[in-house]
Amino acid sequence: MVNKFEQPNQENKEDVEQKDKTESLPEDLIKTKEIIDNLYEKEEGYEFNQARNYRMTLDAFKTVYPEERTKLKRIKEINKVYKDEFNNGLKEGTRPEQYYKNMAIKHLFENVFTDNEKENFKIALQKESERQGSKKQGMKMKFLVSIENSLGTVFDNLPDEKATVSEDKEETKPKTETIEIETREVQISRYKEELEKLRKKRDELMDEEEIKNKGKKLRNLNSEIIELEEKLEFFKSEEKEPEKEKELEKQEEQEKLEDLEEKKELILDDVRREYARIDLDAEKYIKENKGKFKNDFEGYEEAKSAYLEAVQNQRVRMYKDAVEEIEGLCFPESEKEEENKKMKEKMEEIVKETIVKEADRLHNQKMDLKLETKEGSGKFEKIKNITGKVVEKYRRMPLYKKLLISGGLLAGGLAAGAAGGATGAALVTGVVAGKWAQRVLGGAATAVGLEALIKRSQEKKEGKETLAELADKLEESIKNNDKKLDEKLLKLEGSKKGQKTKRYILAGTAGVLVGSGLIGKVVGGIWGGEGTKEVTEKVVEQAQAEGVGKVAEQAQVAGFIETVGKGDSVWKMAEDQLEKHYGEEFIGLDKATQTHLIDAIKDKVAENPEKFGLEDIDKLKVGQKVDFSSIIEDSTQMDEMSKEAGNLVDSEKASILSNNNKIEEWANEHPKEELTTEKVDEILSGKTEIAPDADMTDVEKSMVDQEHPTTEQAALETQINEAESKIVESLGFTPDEYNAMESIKVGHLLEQLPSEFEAWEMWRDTPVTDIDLPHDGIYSSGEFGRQVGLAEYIRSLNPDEGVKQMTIRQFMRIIASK
Amino acid sequence: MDKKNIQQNIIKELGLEGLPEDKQIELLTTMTESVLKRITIKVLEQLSEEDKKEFDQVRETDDPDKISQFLGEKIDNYDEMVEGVIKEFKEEMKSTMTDLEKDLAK
Repeated sequence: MVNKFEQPNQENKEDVEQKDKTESLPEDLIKTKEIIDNLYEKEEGYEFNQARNYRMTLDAFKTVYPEERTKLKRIKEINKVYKDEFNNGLKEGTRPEQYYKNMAIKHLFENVFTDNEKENFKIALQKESERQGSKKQGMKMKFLVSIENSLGTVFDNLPDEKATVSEDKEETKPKTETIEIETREVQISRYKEELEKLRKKRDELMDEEEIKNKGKKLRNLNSEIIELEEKLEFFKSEEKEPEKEKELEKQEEQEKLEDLEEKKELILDDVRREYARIDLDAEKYIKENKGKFKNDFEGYEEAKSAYLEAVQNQRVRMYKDAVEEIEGLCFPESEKEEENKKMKEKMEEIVKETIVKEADRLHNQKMDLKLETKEGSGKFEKIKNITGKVVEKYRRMPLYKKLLISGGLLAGGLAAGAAGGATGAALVTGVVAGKWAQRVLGGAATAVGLEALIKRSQEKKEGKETLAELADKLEESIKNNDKKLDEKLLKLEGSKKGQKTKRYILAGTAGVLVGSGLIGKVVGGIWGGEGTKEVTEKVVEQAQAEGVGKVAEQAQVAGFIETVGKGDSVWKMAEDQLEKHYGEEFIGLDKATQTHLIDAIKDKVAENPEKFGLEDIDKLKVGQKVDFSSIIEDSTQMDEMSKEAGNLVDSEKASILSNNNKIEEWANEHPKEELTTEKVDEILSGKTEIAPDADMTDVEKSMVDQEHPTTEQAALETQINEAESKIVESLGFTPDEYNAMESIKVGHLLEQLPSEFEAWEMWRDTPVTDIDLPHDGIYSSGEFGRQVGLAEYIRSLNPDEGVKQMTIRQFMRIIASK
Repeated sequence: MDKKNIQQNIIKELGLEGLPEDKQIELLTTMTESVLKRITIKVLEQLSEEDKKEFDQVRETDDPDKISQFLGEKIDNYDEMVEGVIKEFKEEMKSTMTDLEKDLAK
């Protein structure tokens, strides 16, 4: 065994503590400590295997090296060897990076760790393993595997040792790196903590008699103190900018959410891996022990239920996203049933998707594990490398080729003869799979051929005939592998360049359809199943329809098409267009100039609404599309508008702003009324009075008329009412939705919605009318989702039997009063 | 070998025909990747170390005829082997999906 380093110093504990009190860590070790602490913190609350391994490894380091300085020094040393090994491996080979990482870790174990260290690690990890094992069976860690996995994670996060040395020479650089991985709060508290320590140390030094001898140290300390004070000052000044603060908070919140989502994905990967491993062991166990079941195998049930729970959670997340997506379509009240239909379709889709993907992933996982056991890790890596290349080649193919291969393998069945003998061989190489697909369909006959024929169908408007011709040609091409047809079609394609882009889109869509929507039929036809001719006709028909859609979609991507949403107006859409296409140029203008431009665009639409697909600019329909390209793309017209807006004098601007205020005031007071051009004219001409109580119902009016209580109790009541409204609002309920269910018992709600997953499965499987919960009007998936959210919220507070007897409103008011 | 089973459309077999086209494509290509991986592993398992090196070189040529000839010579009943992998994959998918559906519904 080659020991690259000395056995770490096992210092006397008292000396160590004494040292810690009197001497802070050097800069480079502080940085390593911060990175490790940060990673450790990041893993908090993450209960699954890999992260647990990782924490265990860090904890083991702590046990092996009780003194922080020795631990950090050793980690730095080992990190250097790891990075060198990894970089050397990368220079030499062509394997995936993970391979060299594994090799570097192996090297550490074989050549760098001392026997003493290994033994100590083993003991520390075993202890932790036993501790966890007592809580949950089947999750016990294997020493080498766990430490290999997790050490890699630690070292990947630590900076390159060489780089650290050079950075050490510069005073500020290492700290910059730390800032990148710390939250602002952690950073501030760290600075404060350090500052406090340094100040204390300075005071101690100043008190000492031999202050002259410590002069240098004191000067260094002073400069560090000044630096930290400046940094804290910076944060203080930032706090004076509440807008910036809010933005930062929002950003952090978003990052946290993303982080959480990422972790949830990782959790599913981890539990799946664990379940696959245990399932394989359980299969072996029942083979060896007749009469036993998988459930009898230690840890099987736990691993399985952890896996199923993670799949359920993933499905719930997808359901929630779907609710948001469907609600974003803003169906009007009269189309709620359509909304529910869409939601159910989406849910069916999610169920099938999760099942297929999970079954596929589970198999892949098991296959990898079997292979690893059978071949050993060295050979396994090599095989993985080759299969990875084959899959990668397939992934990089154009979609229609991918689909043809999919069709050949899975959707239509395999018939090697039809593909000219090289079918199977081509499939396993990945490299030639594309060529194989070309051969099957006669090369250019797919892309260019379809494109040329579509062009002819457009020009001659002889749809049916051209389709029949295409079907014949394609069939012929497939059967005979006819290269001449390719050449002919290529020539035809080259003859005219007009409308090329659009045709390519059509042909591309056709290419996709050849292998996708009609995959079974088309590929089945190609491989001697159903009639190719009929199928191909349908493909091209769809390609044309779809192609037009694609062109429209392209325009929308470019951003000129607005889809009317609930409460939209031409003004709002015009503003959106200006923001989209002129960005800061528009946003940076003063409000009056902005309004003038928005109004100018509205006027253009009003001049000729039919041109924009509208009957009347005041009668917009939700879901309707309005194409603004003719205005926004006309640069001459836009320049004129901008010039005019730029020439506004102050009095004109003041008048515009005053009008804006009047309109805004009216809109706030009449939230249910539509803001039409006629109404705007009325408001501005003073014909419409801005009456605060115009929208009040009789009941509301009578409430206002009531004498207001003046006691403290009444004030408290108001506070509770407000807090209750806030909670209701935070759960997303509309007042009507809340009113509908406020009188039902908490217990009934929880009984109806026993868990998030079961609730959503019930929504998917049960007719809406059979769900025994009150609701506002037509029961929508969005409202149901909010009720599920409410049930989850109540459940998170661990309600007892007493609480379950309360009505929702009673319960909410108790929460509100607290 | 049950040819009928192999030639059935997996989209229908797994009850995915009601899904939107883009989702069908996504699932189909994902499953194809798995099948390609399995076929490749089967091939590699049946080749000797010497043959694997040769296979690497043949693969690099991108010539389907050469590859076809090589595999035909080195692996007995190559096409049947591929068909076997596909059949096994389809059956495993169906049974795992059924189990998962049942377990999740519990």
